[in-house]
Amino acid sequence: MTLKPSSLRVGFALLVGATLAIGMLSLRLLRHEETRLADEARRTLQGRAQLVADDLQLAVRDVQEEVLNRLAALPPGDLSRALAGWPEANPLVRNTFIWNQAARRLEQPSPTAPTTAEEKRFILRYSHLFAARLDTLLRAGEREDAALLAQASPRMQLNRVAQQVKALPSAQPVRRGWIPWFEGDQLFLLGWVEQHGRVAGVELETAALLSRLLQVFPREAGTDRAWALLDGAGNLLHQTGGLDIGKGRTPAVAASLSPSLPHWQVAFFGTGVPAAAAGGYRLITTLLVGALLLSILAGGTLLLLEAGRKAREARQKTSFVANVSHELKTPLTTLRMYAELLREGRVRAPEQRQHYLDVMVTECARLTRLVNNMLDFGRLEQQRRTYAVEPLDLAAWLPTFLEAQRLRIEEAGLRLAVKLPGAPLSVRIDRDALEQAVLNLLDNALKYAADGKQIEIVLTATTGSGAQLEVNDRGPGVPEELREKIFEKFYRLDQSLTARVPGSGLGLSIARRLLRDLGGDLVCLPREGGGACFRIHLKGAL
Amino acid sequence: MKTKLWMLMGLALVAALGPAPRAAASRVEKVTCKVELDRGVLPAGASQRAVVRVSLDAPLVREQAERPPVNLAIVLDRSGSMGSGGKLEKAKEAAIAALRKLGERDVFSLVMFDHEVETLIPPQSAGNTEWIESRIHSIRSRGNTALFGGVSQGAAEVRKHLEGRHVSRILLLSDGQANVGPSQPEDLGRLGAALMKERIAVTTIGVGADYNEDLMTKLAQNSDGNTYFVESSRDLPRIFAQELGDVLSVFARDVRLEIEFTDGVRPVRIIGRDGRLDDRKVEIRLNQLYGGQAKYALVEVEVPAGTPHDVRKLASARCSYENLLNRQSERAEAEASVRYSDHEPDVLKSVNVSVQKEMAVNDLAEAQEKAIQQADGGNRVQAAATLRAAGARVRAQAATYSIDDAQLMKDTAGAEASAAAIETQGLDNRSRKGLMTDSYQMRNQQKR
Repeated sequence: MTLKPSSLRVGFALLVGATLAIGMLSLRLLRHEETRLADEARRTLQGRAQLVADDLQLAVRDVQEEVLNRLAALPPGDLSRALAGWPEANPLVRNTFIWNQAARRLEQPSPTAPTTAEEKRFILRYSHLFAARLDTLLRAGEREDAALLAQASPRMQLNRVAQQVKALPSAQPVRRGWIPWFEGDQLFLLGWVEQHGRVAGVELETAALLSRLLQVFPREAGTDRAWALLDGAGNLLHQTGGLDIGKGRTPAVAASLSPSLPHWQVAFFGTGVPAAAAGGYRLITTLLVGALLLSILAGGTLLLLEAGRKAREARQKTSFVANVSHELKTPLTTLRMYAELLREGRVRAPEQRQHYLDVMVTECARLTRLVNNMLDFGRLEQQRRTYAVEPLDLAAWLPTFLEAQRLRIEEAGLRLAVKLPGAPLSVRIDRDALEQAVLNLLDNALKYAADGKQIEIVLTATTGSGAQLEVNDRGPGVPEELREKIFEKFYRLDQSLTARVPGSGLGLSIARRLLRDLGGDLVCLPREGGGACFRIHLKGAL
Repeated sequence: MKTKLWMLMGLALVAALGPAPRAAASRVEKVTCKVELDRGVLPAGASQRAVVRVSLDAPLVREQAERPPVNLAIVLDRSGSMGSGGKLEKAKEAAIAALRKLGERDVFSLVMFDHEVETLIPPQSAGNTEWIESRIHSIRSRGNTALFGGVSQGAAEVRKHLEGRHVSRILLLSDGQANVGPSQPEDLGRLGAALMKERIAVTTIGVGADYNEDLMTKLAQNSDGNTYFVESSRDLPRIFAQELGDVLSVFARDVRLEIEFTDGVRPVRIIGRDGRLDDRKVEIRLNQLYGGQAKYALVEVEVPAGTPHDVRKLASARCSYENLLNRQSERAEAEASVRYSDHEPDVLKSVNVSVQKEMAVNDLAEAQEKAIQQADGGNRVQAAATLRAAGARVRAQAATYSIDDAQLMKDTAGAEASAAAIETQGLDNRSRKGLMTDSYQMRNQQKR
């Protein structure tokens, strides 16, 4: 059972539709997957930012705890002298102070007679704090601490719990804490410990702290992103990574450094998923879908083409069978009619009888040629034809061969002209095959170009000791676009059954096949002054 | 048991009394401390102001082998602007020249920064010249200026060898405004102060007319490093060589100077330096002393009235430091007395010219800084007047005490020229840098 091209086409269209649907679906899935990946990357980044923030905070916390522990361990009697040495010795300590809670005044540094320029600046910086707010802040210190801690990340909370254990041994719980202080956009950190009615305190050197914290900051090599440390005013304190963080750029993710460094944050700028990776993913998926679509389309098209070709061939075969039947039937009818006439003995005149017998012989010859052609075609198709190649002098062979055909040609009302080269022209060829090919060409000329009244046969030598044999007529000629087509099997210029001239559509096809098998060729050319020229190329004898 | 103890004691005695051959053979010189007054004789009868000078003189470090090893971190600005005018190329050349002056025992590292910070050469022996030089040659300019991060990273690299007896130094070279990270002079100043406590000095080299001289000076001042203003990058190799000369000759570090004044003598202010000053005492810290180079501190004091021929002890100075040649903690002490007289020529004769000269230098430096402030505030005329007045004072002082000092005269002429320029066209970028750098160098007795 064969599929009809039309139903094939419908199936194919359905297939393409399904493929397109799959393609669209996969693109949608792809987009979805991309969002998911981006989300995933965002979460990872957020986690990383939080880790960095925790790291920084823990570092600051460690410093702060250590400072407070040291403060708490100071001998109460010698507080002032012990504290005085700190700012000179420790890079992380900027200033120290002692606040007398009972008298509500600063004991050290002396507000009236500061001994260094830095002390003077300290007093100026915290004048407001010491004048009014310190008491409240000291009271609020620990509560605030607890409230802020509740917002901290689990890791920070755990760390704080551990530090509370560390602080346990002291018999009396010591009140202590940190006060963040902002002055002119800058963050200052004051740590304090209450000691017998006095508060001993330390101002951290924020610049030194920051300078050390930068070493904890993650390294980033990419040029399209950056990790940044931002202060409360959004100023860029540090960055790693090549991205240029201009003003007003919003970070992809950020993690707060509160409560240790209030309002500071760790921020990541740039795209979460490396662009190249996302692009690669998209590219591969698109390629896959594209390849799938293409292969389905290409396969379908090939199938359709093949089906079309098969259908055409089937049509040609049908037409061939009809033609051949017609061809066979005509001589058979003639033969039967004359044979019956002769059998019934109604024809008495000997000339008449002779004539009938002649016609019957001619028709038999025609039948033979027809059957031969078909047999040849069958053999050629199955590539079973064998050739007996031997040298042949064309100049000698051609006149003899044509002489046998002359009668037939002239009976058809055509004049035969032959042009031969002066010298012998020898080629290696199967003589029967060549004769059959030329015969087919002559038959064609008789059939289609009888109106031209002329057949011209021209034999010439070509370069390379080859030969060229032309069969020229003055018939209607062959349209240019069909000059190759006529060599296809079963093809006839006029394929309709009612064609004026019967034929099988095999003659030219067989002629070309024979000649090509023998290393020659047959082409159709227009003839100057009208008509067709069939040219046979033959290889030389060597 | 008892005999054993006696033997031990005897051994200890021999050890204590016997000559210490090693110490004798390589006797290391010490820092000398000297306390002087601007006048050895003060007029009697009234309380008055006087200036005490404490000078610390470190001997020259002679032999290459015995000098303390150096831990040098070069912090190089490679921001886009450094690429222009061949600045970066010259800086690279200078860094290589500096490297070649160092020896096997010295530690060299190089940090470069634009908007991010990168350690190009981790700390290692300066003997690896080939590799280090090839790395330095590979530096290309780009990006912004993360100065704070650069210095922080430089400090981190230096810290890796901090515990040895290395002389630690960061050499910062920049030509632009810090625009990533903390960028106020105060911020960098605080960083410098913190680094000083770790015995790391930062020398700052500003190139061209666009860097922030306040920031660079402050950073150097607070860490007791040097500062340079390099107008043309062609001078960079010379400046590096000069700076390295200083670094290679460091004799003492962690220098603490304590000046205690006798009863009735009240210190009023420290001239030209930062320090702690209270009723009886002045404390000044220096990161290091360079061999063959004197550093001094001037303190203005109020001296109570005295009677003629009275000799009074005025101040005693104690200087403690770490001698880098033998790694000992050493001390140097000195005292100063003053005699009162009612005879005017006596007083005049006792004038200490070199102290007067240094007072003049500081006077000029202070005037320059004040003039900068005034000019910054838009008050050109006042700024010019400040400079002119200082110039006149210095010239008068020079004439009175016949001070003959070419550098001082050059600086005075320079200040007067600046005064004229400020008056007519304001304080331009270049002169501001010149004035600022000069005044710091003068106050800090930096080699020029």
